[in-house]
Order: sequence, then structure tokens, then C-alpha cells
Amino acid sequence: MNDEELYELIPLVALHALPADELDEAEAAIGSDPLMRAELDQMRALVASLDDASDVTPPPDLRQRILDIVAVTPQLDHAPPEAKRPELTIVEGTAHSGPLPQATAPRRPRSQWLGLSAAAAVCALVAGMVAWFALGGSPSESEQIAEVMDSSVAQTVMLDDGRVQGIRIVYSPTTGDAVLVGEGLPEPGDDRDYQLWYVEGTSPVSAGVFRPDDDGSVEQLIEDFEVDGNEFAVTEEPAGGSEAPTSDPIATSF
Amino acid sequence: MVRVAAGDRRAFASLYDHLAPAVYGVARRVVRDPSQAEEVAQEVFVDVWRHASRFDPERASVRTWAVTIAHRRAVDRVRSEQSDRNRRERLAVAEVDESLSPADVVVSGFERQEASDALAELSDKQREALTLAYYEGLTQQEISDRLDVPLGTVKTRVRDGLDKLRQRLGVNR
Repeated sequence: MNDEELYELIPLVALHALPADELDEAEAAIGSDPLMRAELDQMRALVASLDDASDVTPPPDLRQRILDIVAVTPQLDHAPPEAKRPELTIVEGTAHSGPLPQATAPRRPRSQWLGLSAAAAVCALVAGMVAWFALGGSPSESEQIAEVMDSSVAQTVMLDDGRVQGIRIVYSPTTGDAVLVGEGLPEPGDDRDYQLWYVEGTSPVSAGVFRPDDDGSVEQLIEDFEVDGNEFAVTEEPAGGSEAPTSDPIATSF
Repeated sequence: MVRVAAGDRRAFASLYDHLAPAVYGVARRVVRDPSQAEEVAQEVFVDVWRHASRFDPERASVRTWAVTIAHRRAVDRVRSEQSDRNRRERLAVAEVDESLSPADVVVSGFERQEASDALAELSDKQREALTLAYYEGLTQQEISDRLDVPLGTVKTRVRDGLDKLRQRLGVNR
């Protein structure tokens, strides 16, 4: 596409009047040219002004719902340095553009795990980002953990199938947070981490990597935990985690 | 906005109060259904929170930024609904298409009129093209099919319409 053709597309991009893939492509190309980008910015301001007189008051409960989500959602490109330990990595779910896998899909036998993970590489989940931060450092995270562990309505998901026993996820419906708990985990090795996966239908999605303490115990906060329709699995992965599981799980909830 | 980008949740709450009617307004106008519009607004605000540090005041006002995100999300939603509907219709050929009931046409006409002050100055053809794109979430190709005019004509009408608005309004960001 030459510059003139690209310039012609600017009003259509401002109006989102192209199919999503063409829109993304044109927007990226326009963004790399300062003059075209300025034109797009102007057109967008015009398009946004089309609706100037048409504000609609949203339902009152929407505000709290959004604030609740934001309270447990980390920002991108912005991580307070004290919020994470160097050996932990924040992993976020990839945007998903196809139909979501059915939560009611039949469970797959363990032997198909690797095939399933290959499929996951091309079919990533999901609406909603999952990130998790290290325990330790900031007191608010210890408090969050305490709140989950002390909750009278907490639910526990056991990951009791596999060679490592006793890993469990304690989830508080009140706070929306969860804590991954385990004892006696083998040291994964210097260049390896453990990685937790959500498995909804047939697609494992990373929920983050973790390492046990020296004594093999782990107590790891998971913010904005998604329990619905998910099964869980832990695998051993190269340090920093993988896009999709590369080994059989050491523990699963299924 | 700087405070929001620095992780200030209280600042985000006031930003919500400031922008929610605009964001929800766009969502309602494009997706129509109130509960879907709420979902769109929720997605938009979570986006705004997560990507706050990407906001560039040199490029747009906060309102324009948020409304642009809202319109994109709403359009994506309408299109995915439409493709679901098309799929269902292919499966049930004999089924009556309820998507164009007279009641809907009246409602959308009414909503559109409220929002169209800025459009009133345009020629009918320019307004029609902009309206189909903005409020119906149609692509250039779909507008061309709907109006039975060539793609280039759609492009010209859209550009001329926006240029006219630019002259009239100046560009207030």
C-alpha cells in the first residue's frame, strides 16, 4: 500500500469502517508516519464529536463493578518496582478472537496433554487478564493473602492428581483473589520455574510462574482469579515460563 | 490522567465519573442493547485503566481517547453479533429475519436524531455514509453494498463529510 492509498484510508480508520484486521494493519502503518498520525488524530477528534450531545447516564451499579475489577487489575507498562521479585514474571492472557472453548468440553486424558498444549499455542484464551505478583515485599499483598486464607467462605481447589501432592488453590469469592499453596515442592532447578495454567475447555492459559521457597513451600497470591469453568495444572518450564506447556503436568485438578 | 497512569485508583474513579456518560452513550448508540452496552463500557474502562500510561495528551483529549476505544469495542461487538446472526440464519433459512423489525427502525431513527446535531449540516449522502459507519458499525464494503454505490464513492462521501465537519467545528481536541 502506498502513502496515497494509506492517506485515503484515514477517515475510514477513524470511523472503524474497515474489517478488524485491515483496521489494525492500517492503524499501525499510519502510526509510523507523524503527519498521517496527526491527520488520524484530528479525524478521530471529529468522529468523537459526532456524539457530543448524546451522553447517556450508565446504570449506577456499573461504577462499583468497574472499580472492583480495577482494584484487582494491574496496569500495563506500569509496575511498581517493589511489587515483584526478580524471579517472578507477570504473564498475561492473550486476547482471544474466536469463540471461547466450551467449559463443558469433556476432560482429556493426561496422555493428550502435549497435543492439547500445541493446540493452545494457536488458540489462546481469554477475556480478562490474569497477572500475579510475588508474595513478600509489600504489606498489602500479605494482607491480601491473609484475607483469602482467613476467609470463612474460601473455596479450595485441590491439584491432587500428579507426582507432586498437596498443591491447592484457595479462593475467596469475597475479594476475588486466590492463593496457591503448596509444601514439599522439589526445587525446580536454577533454569526452571513452575508455571500454573488455567485450562478452560481445551486451552491451557498461563496464570504465571512461581518458585517454592528454600523449604519447598509456596504461598502465592493470584489476583483477579478466574475460577469459573476452569481446571488447573502446574508444569515445570524453562525459567520465566512458556507460551504453552512443554511438559506433562506435575499436578492437576483433573 | 497522569495520576491514573501512576496507579491512583481514586483518580480513576473520578475519571470514570467524568467519562462514563460519553463512553456508555457511544456503546448504547452502537450496540443498542443496554446490557451489552454495559459490558462494552466495562471493557473500555478496564482498557483505560490498564493502558493509562499509553495515553498521549499531545495526540488527543482524554474524552476523544476513551470515545475512540469505546467506538472500536462497540463496533467489534456489533460485527461479531452480526456474524453469529448470519451463521444462525444460514442454519435456519426459513426463519423470519427479526433484525429489521419496524420497531427497531423507529428506535434507531430516534436515537440517531438525538445524536446528529453535528451531522445536520452535511449533505444527505454524506450524512448517510457517516451514520452507517458510525452508528451501525458497517465497513466501507458493507456501506457500498447497502447503498449500491462503488467503494470509491463511499470513501469520498466519508472524507468530504468529515472535512466539512472539520471546517465547521474547527478541530477542538
